[in-house]
Amino acid sequence: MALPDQMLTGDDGDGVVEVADESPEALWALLESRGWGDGLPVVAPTTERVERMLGVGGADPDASLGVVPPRDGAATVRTVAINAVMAGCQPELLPVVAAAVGALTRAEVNLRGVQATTHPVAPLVIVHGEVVDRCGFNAGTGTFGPGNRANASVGRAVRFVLMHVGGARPGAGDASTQGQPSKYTYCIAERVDASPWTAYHRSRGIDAASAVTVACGENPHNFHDMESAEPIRLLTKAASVMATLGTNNACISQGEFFVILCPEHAATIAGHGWGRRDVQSFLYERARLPRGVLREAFDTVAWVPWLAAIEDDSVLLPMTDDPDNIRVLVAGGAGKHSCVIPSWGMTKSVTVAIEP
Amino acid sequence: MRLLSPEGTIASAPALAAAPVASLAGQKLAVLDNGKPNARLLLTTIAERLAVRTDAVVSLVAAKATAAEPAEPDILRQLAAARVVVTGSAD
Repeated sequence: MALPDQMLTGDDGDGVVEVADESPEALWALLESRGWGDGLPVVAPTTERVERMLGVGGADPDASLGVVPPRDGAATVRTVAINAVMAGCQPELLPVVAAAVGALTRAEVNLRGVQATTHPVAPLVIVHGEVVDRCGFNAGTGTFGPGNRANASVGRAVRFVLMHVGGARPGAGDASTQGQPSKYTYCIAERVDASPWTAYHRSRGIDAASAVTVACGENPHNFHDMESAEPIRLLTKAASVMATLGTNNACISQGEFFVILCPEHAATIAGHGWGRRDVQSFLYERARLPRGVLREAFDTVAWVPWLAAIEDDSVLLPMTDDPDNIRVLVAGGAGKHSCVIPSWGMTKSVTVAIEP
Repeated sequence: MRLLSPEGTIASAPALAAAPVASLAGQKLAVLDNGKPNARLLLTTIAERLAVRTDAVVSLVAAKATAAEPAEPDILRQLAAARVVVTGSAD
């Protein structure tokens, strides 16, 4: 659709667009004509707003955060700031978005595959440490949303970078067959005050006050347990959610599972002396399917050699080849609902410090 | 009112399409199986029929380790010996 002349007055060819005003009508027309946005209203990325965003933290606006495929767009601090403005971020959130974008461009994420696949995968952004309270993230009731500006706008800003800088628009750059709701925004915060275990980022060797994890996966798969007073029955439900044939992780052995425990489930588990590693080990042992069931379901598998070498169809195979691929942390509020997030398969999560 | 584009610049030089091949007679054709179901059958069949029609030779059928990741450098080096590579195929 061509932009009406009265709304778009010019483009100087240097990434600046002249519009008559920032009325909803003018912005809608601009977004539609350029293929920008996620279908929801945006904040106009004026020079003033972007400069205000860049004024926090003092990062070099031209500093590179990485290259975003498949368009191979250059993600600079300035470009990320423009997208953060559009997404509705407050200026103090820019370091979080920048850290997440930088993490996504790491080779182990396999972002080209994540962006272009027919799978519905979306990067989950998990925020850790002192930035959670300082910037107003919701780690408690409803952490996955809706209703909190920091969670919503950070996840949305990351999505905007993937769409605008990376070119991952549905049908062109993003081939996801059905998409998924978490492609709009997908950001939570770790509930470290209610966690019985070390903060997640520190368990991954990141010695920083604040950090962010990016993990490319499916929407959350809920599991509820209102009754169990001990870990085995409770975590058997998590294992049941993990051991399904529908996920990419069923035929790809290096996949990760993020197990996001609610505080009450975590307390029940830790109350019996179980640490994070115990949860990982238990789920590795319990989340299994018979080799014959898996091979009947898939003509092609991408399994590590030791798994591929097993020929007995009665052997129970783990859903991932290493307990460390099962990542455990605490988020959410009161109640007894937790979730499992299976990865896309050929991707690894990354945790990095947030630079002030 | 001035708004800033959220797209930024492209970091890499654009890839250029290879020049058309005037004749495939006597040339080597290769197949890159991208790992998707039936890709090897489909692509090899195309390459073999093309070879018959043009008097070319199918010299290599290679496969990526997985569909989800780029071809390994060694595979790309092997493919470079061919004049034409037949690849593609999604789900």
